[in-house]
Amino acid sequence: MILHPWILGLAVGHSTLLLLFSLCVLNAWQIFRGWDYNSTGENQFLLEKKTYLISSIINFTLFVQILMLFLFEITADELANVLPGAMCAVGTLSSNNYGFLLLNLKIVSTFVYFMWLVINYLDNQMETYPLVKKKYLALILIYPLPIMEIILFFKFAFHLDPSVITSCCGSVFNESAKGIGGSLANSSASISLSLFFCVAFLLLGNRYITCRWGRGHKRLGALLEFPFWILFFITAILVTISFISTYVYEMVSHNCLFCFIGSQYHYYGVFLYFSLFIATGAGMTGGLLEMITKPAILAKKARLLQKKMHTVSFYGMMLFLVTGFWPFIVYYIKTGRLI
Amino acid sequence: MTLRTIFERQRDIIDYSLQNMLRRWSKNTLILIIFIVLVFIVSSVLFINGSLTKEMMVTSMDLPDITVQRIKGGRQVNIQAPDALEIEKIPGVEAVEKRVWGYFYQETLQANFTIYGMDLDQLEKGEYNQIVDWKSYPDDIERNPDFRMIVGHGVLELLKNIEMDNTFLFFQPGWQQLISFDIIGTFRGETELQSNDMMILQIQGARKVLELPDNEFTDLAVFIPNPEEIDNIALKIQRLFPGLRTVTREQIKNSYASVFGWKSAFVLSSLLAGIFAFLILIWDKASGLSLEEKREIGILKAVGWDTALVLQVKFWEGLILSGISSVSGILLAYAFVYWLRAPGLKQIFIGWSTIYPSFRLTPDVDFKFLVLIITICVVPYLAVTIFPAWKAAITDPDVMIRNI
Repeated sequence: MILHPWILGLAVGHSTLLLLFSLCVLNAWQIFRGWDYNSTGENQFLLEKKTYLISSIINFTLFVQILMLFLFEITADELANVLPGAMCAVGTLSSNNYGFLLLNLKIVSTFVYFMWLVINYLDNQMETYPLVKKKYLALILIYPLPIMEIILFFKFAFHLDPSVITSCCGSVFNESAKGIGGSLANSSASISLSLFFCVAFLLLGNRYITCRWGRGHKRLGALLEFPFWILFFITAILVTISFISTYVYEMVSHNCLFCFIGSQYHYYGVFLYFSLFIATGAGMTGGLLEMITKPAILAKKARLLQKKMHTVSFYGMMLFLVTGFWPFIVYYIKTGRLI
Repeated sequence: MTLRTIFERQRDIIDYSLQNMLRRWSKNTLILIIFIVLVFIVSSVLFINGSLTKEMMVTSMDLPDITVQRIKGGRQVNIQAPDALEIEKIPGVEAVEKRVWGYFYQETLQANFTIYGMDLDQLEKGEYNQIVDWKSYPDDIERNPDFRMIVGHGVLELLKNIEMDNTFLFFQPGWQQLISFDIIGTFRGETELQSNDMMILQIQGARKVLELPDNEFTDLAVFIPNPEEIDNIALKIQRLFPGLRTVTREQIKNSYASVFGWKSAFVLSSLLAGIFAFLILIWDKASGLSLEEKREIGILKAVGWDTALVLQVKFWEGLILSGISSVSGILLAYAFVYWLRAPGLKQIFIGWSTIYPSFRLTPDVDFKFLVLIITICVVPYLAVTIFPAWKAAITDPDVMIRNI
């Protein structure tokens, strides 16, 4: 266990998050049990008021979750000073089994909270709250996420041992290294690039076809967006490891996903990941919105929101492409060759 | 709703929140002051920790790659000259410096000086020329070249008190007579952190003062050009000489960073009780709405404000309050740490020695500290205000106006 300001900050943040979420789930359960829109009783009246509390809390939760994602990355980076052998965030995260697990979980829950909020926003536009039971059931079902997060966080913090020599990003993302990081880096830039662009063209092509074709295909195409965007996120990370990072660092052997987030590289990673998260979050939500078909008036509003999400995800993707390939273009123009 | 109308609407809400807070300034001032103090302490601790860690990282560049000590009975003892020769033969080792150093306790001043033996003639020619103010002496007096030294600025100031700033008299129990050392120069201010309590003695003189026999040294500094090889060579030295202990630069850096982190986390953990008390105060203040406030919300709702709008006003109030306190707390902390040199707090971090340098902390303020300060101070504050704000916002207008 390390007693360190950053760990302390994470502990405060996680505890706040879990506490708020628990309050939320408690109220969500009451709403789920007792909701009856046609009732004019006092109880229904109170439940309707409680919906405000829940949406405020989840709004706040998403904000804190994003903050914590940042804080977690910074913590990992800072703790690299303390752990022998660790040179950047990767060393800290891989110093025990929980680091990367926690990071992945954090990314997943950020997306989940975002999608819930969009659905909630849509539902609140309707006077009758048609989705109320479903969305509060969903809220109860995602309650394990913050619980798992806090458990993993404390496991991670308790198992941080300043005397264990950890691997640094040079060896995790080293091509000769075994394990997932190594095989990701090993998948040569050409393979990952073609995979990435395949997915990107698939996405855009799908959208084009969906726009042109009739209703039946439209539905399938829009639903497909959801898995496609997950694929896009994964391939984008792959491309970042094997291609983008090489041009940011201008080194063949340095394939780290974290080093470029800090001030040393002018917060380049912040912009890169921001665009990627926005694109993926909006894109996935767009796919999810297609599942809302009843009642007709809600479905209509959902399509409208879906359109907005599509636009946001499209511009997010473009931003990611520009930010991601900017270093490559600059390098190519300067030197006239590839790395 | 277009973006423009959303923006204007928010601006009106912010305007209303601000007016609202100004009207109840007495209630908000107390919260503001406590909040500022909290942010101030948290950010001071983080700033000091950040600068010290950075300072340490910079200084550690000058440390030897490996320090080798001889351990006997679990304690450090002098190292023999042949060991150095053997280590020098290990492939990859560029040079082995045999170091002579120790401490000298001066009773009248109650100060501990760090004594380091070096060849001063070499220094006069080398790079030390730029960081030392050399003194010149009239040549008519016969001086022993072995008994010369350069001292740090802090040492010189102390020696002035006992009028020994030209020559210093060393004495160890068991000596027949005092030995006087000429002070031939002082280190300049910019090296204060390392040189403040230093006395650099001519090597033979240092041996005399430290009572170190010839052919023995305090420890060895091993220099290795390729950083990749440091760990392996340290391991090799330990295998070849089981009686020696190796300390690499990386280990020293890690343990310093650990210690600074531990210390600041310790201060912050003790502060958690304070933060908790503050949160209870906020909860109490926020849930106990005054009659006037209740009536106001009642009227607002009666004229058509909905719950979400009242919630937004409350949210903006919280955000404005925490924004003002964070900014002023951080600015105050910046002034306190970097202009006033953090009196009171710094001592916790750097030690207790009487002669410790009064160095100026170099600013190392990063965006990352902001994230941490927000997480520790602002997030719990906002979290605590959500529930009371909601409670205030949902109350029905008729209940509020009729004061039930």
